[in-house]
Amino acid sequence: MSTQPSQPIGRAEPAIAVGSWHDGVADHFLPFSEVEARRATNAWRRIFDATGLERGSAALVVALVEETHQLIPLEAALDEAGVLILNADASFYEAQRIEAFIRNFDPACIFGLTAATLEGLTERGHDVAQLVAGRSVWVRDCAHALLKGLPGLRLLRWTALGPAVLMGCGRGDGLHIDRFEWTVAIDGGRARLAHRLGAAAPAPVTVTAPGARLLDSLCPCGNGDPLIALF
Amino acid sequence: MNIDVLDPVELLPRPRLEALQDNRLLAILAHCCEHAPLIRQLWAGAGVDVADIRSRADFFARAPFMNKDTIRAFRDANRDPCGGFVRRHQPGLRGVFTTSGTTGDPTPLPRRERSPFETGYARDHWHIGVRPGDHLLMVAFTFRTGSLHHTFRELGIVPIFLSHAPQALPRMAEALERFRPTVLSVLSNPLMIGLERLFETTGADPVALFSPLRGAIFGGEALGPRYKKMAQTWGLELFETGGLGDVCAATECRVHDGLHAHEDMALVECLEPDGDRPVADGEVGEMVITTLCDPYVPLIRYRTDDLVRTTREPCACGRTHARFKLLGRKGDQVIVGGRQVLPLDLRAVVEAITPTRGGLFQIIRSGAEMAVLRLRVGYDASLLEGGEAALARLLAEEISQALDLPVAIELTPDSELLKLGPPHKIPRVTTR
Repeated sequence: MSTQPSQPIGRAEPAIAVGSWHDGVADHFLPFSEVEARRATNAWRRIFDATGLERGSAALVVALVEETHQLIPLEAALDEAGVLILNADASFYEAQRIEAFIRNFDPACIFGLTAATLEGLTERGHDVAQLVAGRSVWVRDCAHALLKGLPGLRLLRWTALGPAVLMGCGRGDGLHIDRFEWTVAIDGGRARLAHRLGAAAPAPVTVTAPGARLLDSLCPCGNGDPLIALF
Repeated sequence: MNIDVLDPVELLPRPRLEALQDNRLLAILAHCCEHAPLIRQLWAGAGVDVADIRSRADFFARAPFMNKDTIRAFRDANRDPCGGFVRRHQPGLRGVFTTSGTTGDPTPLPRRERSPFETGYARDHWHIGVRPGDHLLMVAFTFRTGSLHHTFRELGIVPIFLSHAPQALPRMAEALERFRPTVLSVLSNPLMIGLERLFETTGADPVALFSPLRGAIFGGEALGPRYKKMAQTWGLELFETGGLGDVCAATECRVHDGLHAHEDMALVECLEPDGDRPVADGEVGEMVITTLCDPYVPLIRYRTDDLVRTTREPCACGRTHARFKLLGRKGDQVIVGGRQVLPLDLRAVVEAITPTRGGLFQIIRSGAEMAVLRLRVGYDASLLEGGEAALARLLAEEISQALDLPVAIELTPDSELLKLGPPHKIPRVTTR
């Protein structure tokens, strides 16, 4: 199944930064442009339109430096929405900082907790369930399994499919992919992604994605971005 | 010497620089004494009215000091997450960074749209040689400063983001070959250990690998003599960086004679470590910082705990702002047999011995004063010949001879010490 195939519209764009993406086997560098960052910011804004985001609230963003390119659009969307951004590193050693941020600033949203940060919090004697209760928490795959089922937690997912970021709204059966940026075709455990518009690295890529499916259904959140279900 | 600077303010003649500082000082004091609850309380408690401060002489004579404990005490007493720096919902407040926070809750650093750290680092990178259109290999220590960095985008400089971890070194090598960045920012002791191992095990040529670079910034803690020399054999010029308190960073220039303070961004004093009188240029003192650029982080006469030597002599690079050398943290000083010892005093001796060439060690402090210098020293077992007991004896003899102090050594693998800290350094003084 695929979204509409097309030749990319637009030119090769100058890169503003270089991140990385993983094809299921190896890491690759990912030059990306100002216009891609802007479009990805809009994609996050569509997610927040569905989940709600209160001006003046706080958001804790936890990540690694190598993920910066994925975080630029997220933080730009938060910043433009008037949300106070708190930053910590996604490592075991950041438990004290993460707990202090949560205790002192009471963030409405937390992005990027990982298995390592959760382990660090537990090792330091913190009750993770209590820390995340009442908040919207976007996590990657490994942390999702660890937090699933905790009471009072609005648990959402986000992840990468190759160079694309998939974002959960909590309403649909899958994760949204930016329809302005990508065409995607998924077949036999492999996803082929191509830019629709100009990009710094415009060549299509193929990603190993066992269990991934492009859903036909529309998301009840009202976001027109297609849904991809993962394993 | 090329004195092409990013910001002409870096070349201001001293009198003009000080006049600029005076203007900024009075403006920031007026703002902070009105809007920063911590500063209002501190100055009221000291009986100082900001209206009475009309010159730097008034400021030096009357302004009260503050330190990390001042901020923590206000935060805890008032349950103020911003530490009394700004109101939680201050217009223009966009985010909060934090200090590394090795003891207690990390100190909050409220952020406007742009942090002074960005501004200072842009100047430092420019000096090293990065220009519009260049790539910059960004191996920052942590994600604690987030992703919204504007300055490099505005300058047309393209950062390549990699995590600060020895596991990332092969990708760093790939990035160097593919993108040929001009500057690598930042290396640290753990990464130097990893690079040395990488070249030994793969046979890769460091000179060829680092050839695109005009330099690399080194930070986290002091650069030891062994790695400084090794980098030279790699054809890699290292530029040490450190903090100007928590206002911004300061980095060496190509003269490598001290870190350049950005004196338009901070007023720098060097005072007696246990007093408040200034020490002369070249003498050891504690760095005391007053922000001139960031009213949301009102560090006013902030005692940094950093022991430094400063100079205001013009630098051969052409930039006119003061320079300083970081000697260590006041809190890391230990008294052994009546003598003051800093971790930096031990570095060269530990690095000079092959199994401990990584320079990883901790001082184990058992009390206010100790009769014996107790050390936990990291070693690489693959380089060990003659057993641990012989290594411990050799270390004890060498360090004892160098410092003229009795020494007791506890050995541990390098990997165990590296686990103790964040990616870029280890705690150098411990009580355990």
